[in-house]
Amino acid sequence: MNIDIEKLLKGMLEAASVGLKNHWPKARDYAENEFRKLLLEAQHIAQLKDDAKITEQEATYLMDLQRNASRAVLLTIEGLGILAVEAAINAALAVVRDTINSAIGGWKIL
Amino acid sequence: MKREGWTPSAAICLCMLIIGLAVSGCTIRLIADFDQKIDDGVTALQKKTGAFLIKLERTCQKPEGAYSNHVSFYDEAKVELSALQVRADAIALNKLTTEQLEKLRDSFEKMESQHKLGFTPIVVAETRNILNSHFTAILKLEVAKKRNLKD
Repeated sequence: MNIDIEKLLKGMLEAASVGLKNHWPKARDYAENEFRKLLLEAQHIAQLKDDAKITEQEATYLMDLQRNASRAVLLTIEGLGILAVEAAINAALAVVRDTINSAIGGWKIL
Repeated sequence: MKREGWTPSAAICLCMLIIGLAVSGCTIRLIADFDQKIDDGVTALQKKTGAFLIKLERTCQKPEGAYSNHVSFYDEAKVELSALQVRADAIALNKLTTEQLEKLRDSFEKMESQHKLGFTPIVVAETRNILNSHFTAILKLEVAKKRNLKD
């Protein structure tokens, strides 16, 4: 089986970057590294099956584990995106707080 | 004619909300805080699983590698995963970690079933690689929840 890792990786990264928009740079390194590992692992499993080093049942088992691990990676990327949005909202709130503090004569009551 | 845009009352409500949030000094939380026990528990389980699989890779085709000799590992892993799951469920805004742990538990069940059928060294090695990716994903998210720290 021939899997074009780079082409698939590019597609996965593009899809993930659309979801994370401006916060993508923070997740990019992790996503690229993990997506590449997942694709290489899938390719490796397929190769082992083709070479008759593992049975079809074993390949199915490994792909089931791989699916769970992939889901875990995607959930982490989703979490990194949520954390980035949260940081942006809190930064905006901090600006409001600073502005109000300044407006009332620099008192740090907020 | 109906006027479009913000009504005065909506604008006042928005201002009150923003000022209220600022006055309260609170920060918005969209996802759970870092939990040391989840971090420690997942790290410990990864270490234990890694050691188990490294040994199993050598012994899986010998009598000592038979499933019947390793039931205790799976029992202990189930208990640890269940405890992690309960803790994750009890923390608000933690559904991502909860789902990651559910998937990990499913992988452990599949690993146990495969062990009953019989392992080969190559399948054990692949299992270890895949589970490590899974553990890394859980820990990466947990550490990121510390916020404001470079990871």
